Amino acid sequence: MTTTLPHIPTLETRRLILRGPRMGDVETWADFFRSERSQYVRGDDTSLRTSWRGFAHMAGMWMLRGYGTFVFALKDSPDQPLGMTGPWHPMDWPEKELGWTVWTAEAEGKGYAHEAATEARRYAYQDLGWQTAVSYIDPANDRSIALAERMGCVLDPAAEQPDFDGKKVLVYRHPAPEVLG
Amino acid sequence: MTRRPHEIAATGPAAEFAARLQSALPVLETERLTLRAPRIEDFEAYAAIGESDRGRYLVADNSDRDALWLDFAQMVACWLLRGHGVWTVETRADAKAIGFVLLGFEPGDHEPELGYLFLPEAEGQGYAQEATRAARAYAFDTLGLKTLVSTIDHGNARSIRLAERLGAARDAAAETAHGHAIQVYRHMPGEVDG
Repeated sequence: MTTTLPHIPTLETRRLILRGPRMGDVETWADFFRSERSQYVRGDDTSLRTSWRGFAHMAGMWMLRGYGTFVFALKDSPDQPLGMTGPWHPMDWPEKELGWTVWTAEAEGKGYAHEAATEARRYAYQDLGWQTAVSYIDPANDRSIALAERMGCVLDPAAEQPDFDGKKVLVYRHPAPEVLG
Repeated sequence: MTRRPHEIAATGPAAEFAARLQSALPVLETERLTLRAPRIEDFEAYAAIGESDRGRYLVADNSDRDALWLDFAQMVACWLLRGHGVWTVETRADAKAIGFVLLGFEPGDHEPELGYLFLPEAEGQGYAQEATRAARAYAFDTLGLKTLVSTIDHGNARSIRLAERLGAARDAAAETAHGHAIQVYRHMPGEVDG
């Protein structure tokens, strides 16, 4: 017997489902964490234990704060995670963030992250009542910068920097909820 | 220490949803204690334990509040990912958080783990033993876990004493499997009422 928790909300877009993180996602996450593709969102330690702590940090946010990042997957294969996106407030962030990661190269270039992150932002604004959101991005992470700009974000040089292992990041601020309508 | 932004509870709809998630976790009552769902404000008690001289048994560098936060978050997340996790232990008399009992399992562990950590001022009153017995009974009787161990650092005499009081016995084979880096105390279902 395991404890049954009330479901974390499931969101849907045209092609995707956004759902709560599960144990079954950990392996794909760990593969991503070990790969070059995660270089902008982690430190140098890519051990299984550290990648688990990263994943559990994301999952734990749901319990501690009542919101967190969703895992997104194609509607017809919801158990095959493609990445994560969602509103969260992890440690060392001065304010709430909308984050995203795409876990495999195959899932890139299809607009999935844009589709999922746009829905996650709608959730943050409409369901959680957020008035503003930022995305913190490594200056070398071109793909992520392109996504932020596609979502209408603009650089906010006055925003406080998060503590990201001493690295300076770009702070992109999302259009306000009233602008998006 | 003042709380950092990420240590402060959310408000509005998010706070209500966090309360709903927390209310789904089992609550265990003992004679003097309640084991309940962890809440974000309980990190204060966890950090106080972590930053005490007992904290060196929790994380590699217990002056690193981020490492303590990650450990707390993963114990909490375990509920969502595995269906068991950490309870905050509070006194029934005044609802004060005095410690934590964990049914955990993370990479590096070979099987589910029964952990316990209590504030220095709550020690010496049998609270840890009382709370840990309740969690162990829940693990075997309700969750149906087949095995359960307490993994303890060499030299953590207080923790070793509690494991012995709980009737757990050292498991030499399990310690060999861990390269003798830790001591492994095995709990048996039959000892639940000890």
